[in-house]
Amino acid sequence: MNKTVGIDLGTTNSLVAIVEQGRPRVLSRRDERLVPSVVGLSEDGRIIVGQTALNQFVLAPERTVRSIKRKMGTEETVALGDRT
Amino acid sequence: MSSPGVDPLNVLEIDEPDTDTEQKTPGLEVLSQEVRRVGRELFRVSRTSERNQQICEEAIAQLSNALAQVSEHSAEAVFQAKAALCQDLFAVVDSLEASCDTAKNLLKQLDGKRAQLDRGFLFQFSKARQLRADWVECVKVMSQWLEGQQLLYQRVMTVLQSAGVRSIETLSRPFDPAFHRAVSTEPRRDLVAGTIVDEELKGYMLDGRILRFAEVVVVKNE
Repeated sequence: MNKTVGIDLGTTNSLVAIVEQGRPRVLSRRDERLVPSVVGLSEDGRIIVGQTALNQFVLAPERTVRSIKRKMGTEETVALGDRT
Repeated sequence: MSSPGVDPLNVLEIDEPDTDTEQKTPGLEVLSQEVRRVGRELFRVSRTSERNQQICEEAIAQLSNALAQVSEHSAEAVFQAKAALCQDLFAVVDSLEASCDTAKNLLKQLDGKRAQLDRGFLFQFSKARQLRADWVECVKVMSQWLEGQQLLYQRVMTVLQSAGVRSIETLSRPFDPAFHRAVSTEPRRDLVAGTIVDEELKGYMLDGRILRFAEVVVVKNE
């Protein structure tokens, strides 16, 4: 069965909603509906997202990307650790 | 009653005399029609039974799913209610911790000052000695107040722990963004990078889920 999914990609936070029985429902992750729009690389090279990624921003800004929405559509290359 | 070994379908033919063929034919026809009718009825009943069984199975599956959902939702509702209560209590715990820390620091300062004054010239006089005695009494009262605050803190923590709340370990442990939030960094050559050296705010978990991330200071050597 196909599901309709809507994504609100915000500069700071994002959320995802689906339509169930004709009604929209915002999905929650670990009780949080708003997910910080942040992606990062953990120390062992795993991709981490949301609050977990935001938690390491102060410690490892070179391994964490936030406010990516502002750069979408531009030519700018974003580095995430040793990846681009 | 047919005898053993005799085919019951052939009983009529065996029992009927051969001479009465004119009467047998309409009897067989009626019986045949009855058999067909019963067969059709049986088929219809069988189809209805199959359909009913299918409806029952679907209903049982739906009920089972609904029960599982209700169970899941009620477990989640219980968790959310506990989490909300714990969040409210964290504010109390934080305040108690802060007041205890402030009182400890103040007592340490008062103790230091008293030691300085003991060595001073002024305490040779009776009024000054009275002042010193009042000071000592004040420190004693404050120590007792601090003890009460600490007991209150322990009691609230016991309530939280009995509800399943666990503190997140921080000091001297490696930073883990799944449990800790880095709020500051500190250069420390004597420690491995990524080690937690201070805790700004206690973190808590309930039933394996994060209620509040621990806010920590982490070693970072440039």
